[in-house]
Amino acid sequence: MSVVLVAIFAVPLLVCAALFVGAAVASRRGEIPTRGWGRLAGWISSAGALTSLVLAVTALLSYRAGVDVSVSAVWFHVGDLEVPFSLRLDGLQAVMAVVVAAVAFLVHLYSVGYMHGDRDVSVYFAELSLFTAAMLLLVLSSNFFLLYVAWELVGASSYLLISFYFERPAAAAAGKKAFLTTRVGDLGLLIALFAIVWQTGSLDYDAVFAWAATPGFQGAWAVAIPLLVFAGAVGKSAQFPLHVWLPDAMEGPTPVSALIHAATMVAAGVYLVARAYPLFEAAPVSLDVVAYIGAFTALMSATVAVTQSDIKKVLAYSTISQLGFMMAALGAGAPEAGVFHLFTHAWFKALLFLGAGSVIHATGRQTVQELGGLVRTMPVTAWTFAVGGLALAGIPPFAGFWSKEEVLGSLLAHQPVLAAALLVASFLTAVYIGRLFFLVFLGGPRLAGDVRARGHESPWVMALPLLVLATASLVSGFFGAGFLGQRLQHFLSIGAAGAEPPGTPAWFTALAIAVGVAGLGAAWLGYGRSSQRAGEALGFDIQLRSTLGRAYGVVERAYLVNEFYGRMVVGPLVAAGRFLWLGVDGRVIDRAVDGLARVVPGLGGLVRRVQSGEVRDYLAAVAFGVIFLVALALGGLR
Amino acid sequence: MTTPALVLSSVLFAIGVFGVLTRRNAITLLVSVEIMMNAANINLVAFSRVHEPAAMTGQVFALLGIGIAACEAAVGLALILAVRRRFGGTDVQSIDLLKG
Repeated sequence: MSVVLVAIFAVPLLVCAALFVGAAVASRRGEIPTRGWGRLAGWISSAGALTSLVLAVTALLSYRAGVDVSVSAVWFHVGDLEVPFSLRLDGLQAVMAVVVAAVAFLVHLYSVGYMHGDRDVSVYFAELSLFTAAMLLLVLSSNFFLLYVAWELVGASSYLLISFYFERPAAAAAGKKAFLTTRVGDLGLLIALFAIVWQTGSLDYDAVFAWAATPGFQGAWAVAIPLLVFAGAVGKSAQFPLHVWLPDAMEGPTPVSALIHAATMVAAGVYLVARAYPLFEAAPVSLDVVAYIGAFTALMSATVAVTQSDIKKVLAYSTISQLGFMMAALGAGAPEAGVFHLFTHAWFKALLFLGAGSVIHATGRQTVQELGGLVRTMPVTAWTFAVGGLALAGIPPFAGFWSKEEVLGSLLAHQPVLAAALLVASFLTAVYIGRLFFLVFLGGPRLAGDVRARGHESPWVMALPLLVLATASLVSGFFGAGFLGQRLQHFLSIGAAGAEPPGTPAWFTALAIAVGVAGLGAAWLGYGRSSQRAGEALGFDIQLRSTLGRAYGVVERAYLVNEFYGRMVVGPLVAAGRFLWLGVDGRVIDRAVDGLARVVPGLGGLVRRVQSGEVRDYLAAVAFGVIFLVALALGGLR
Repeated sequence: MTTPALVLSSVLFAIGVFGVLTRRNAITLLVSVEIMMNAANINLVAFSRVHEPAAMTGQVFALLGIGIAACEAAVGLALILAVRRRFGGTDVQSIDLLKG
């Protein structure tokens, strides 16, 4: 039984290895990858992901039945430290594993259709499988070391996938940016792990959390360790101030964006905070930091999302915002609510991204100014997108409503100010997703003359995942709503408290629904009947731009955080690099080497004159040498 | 007892070295080398008289040396003749075919 947990992540890993080896062999033989082979690779890796999903569900069921499925073996020793290779399953990990495997499978399936025209898709599927395997290992690990290994694997494979179209400079730069930005946070996590090993001598979750519960867990470390762990989560989950990589990550293929945003990369940060929750509970200050950063990020990126014109950028900022919701819930002492939101968000955000991918695939365009009226040509995409949008906007009975209400309720009980901020963010959420839907799918085609821009429905491999995810976006909220027996939140069993969260007052729930409906209504008023011509700005954007003036531009450019980093971090680093290159290397080191190269021949020229080639000169040297030696010997004798 | 002979041989040797070092004519060089050799022969005879006069080893050795010197002079002069034919003179500095 215990082999199940290993198999869950090992299957996609083996698929990845097989596809990489296949691609390498084919490329060595000089064979050009054909479409048929790419499709086969897609099916193989989809089958791998499906196997993972089946195994994850099996593991979840056996965990519910009370079977112990944990695996533990000694991996290696370093000094006194014994690093185990241990996997386990608890409620949180089981749910995460199922979500990751399910979304990964659907994305694999979708990619078979989406990537069919691309070159080396077998490499793409290998990387996708690696990503899935890394994320599954991350959620199944039972110690921080293995978690960190998987954490870095997730980072590396996200780099590979974001820069999959590496011949485009923007894509290559985006991959690098994602890797380096998350690296900043990873460093914090790494330091936290060093501190944990130093203080406890163990990396096992249970041992570390037991230590966190003791009175000895106090002082500077007790605050620093959770904050450093949170730094890692900030990087991976794209929270302010390390959120800048995520909008750029849209350069990758759209299914990858769906996977990154729904289940793998960004979920890792939220999972980490929820996993290490006992550490945070021991230091309430760190929880406040988590809550404030989460709420700030949620509000900030929601405003940015309203102004974006690229479909994927809107969804990217939406993801950052929703992750902020999750972090805020975690920080407000309701980790179950945060993970519940992660759970529902995974379905509807994957759905929205895959819907956007379907639009991009069909039309070859991705800015709202160029699209419109697609509901007629792409009904499946449009209506599933609508389901995802309603879930995101928090309209009952869709999934997002239940989890968002839980998040807001927990914040109301602990941090009323942040609850108000998140209400505003929810309003903006409804506005931007309504705007996106109305502009892309309603109205008429804005590029009337362009046949391709009218779109066409996607093939069944792409439509099927959309339908499955739409169903999940509809029903996944019920798992937390309590009328399906055991509530998901209890099943997760995070933290020590485990108490029933205080019920949300009815007026607040009504307010949250009203805010969502108001947002959608505002979006309908602003963008529902927008003009049908292609232009710079549409509907209410025109009024917003003229009223806000320069402020609108600042928001549109995401509060100039990128520009700030460019000037304050990248600029000085590049300047320092140029100084070291031209100044130190060019002026000092190169000249020293050149100088040495000139001195040696000069000295050689001097010494060369001694070797005249005249026998008599040598003879004279010998004669005088003998005289000298004899004189020396005689002097010595005397 | 041997001092005058040693002084003579030293003077002769010095003259020979001086000749070798300063002259460029090959024949003069050969003569100078012969002078140095004879200085050595004088030493052989002189030391022989001191150490084991009855055996006369030094004298025999000196005679042998003179004989070899004759052969050497023959070979040397033949070389010089060849050099003169090849280079049109006996100046040793003109023999520089191996100089890079």
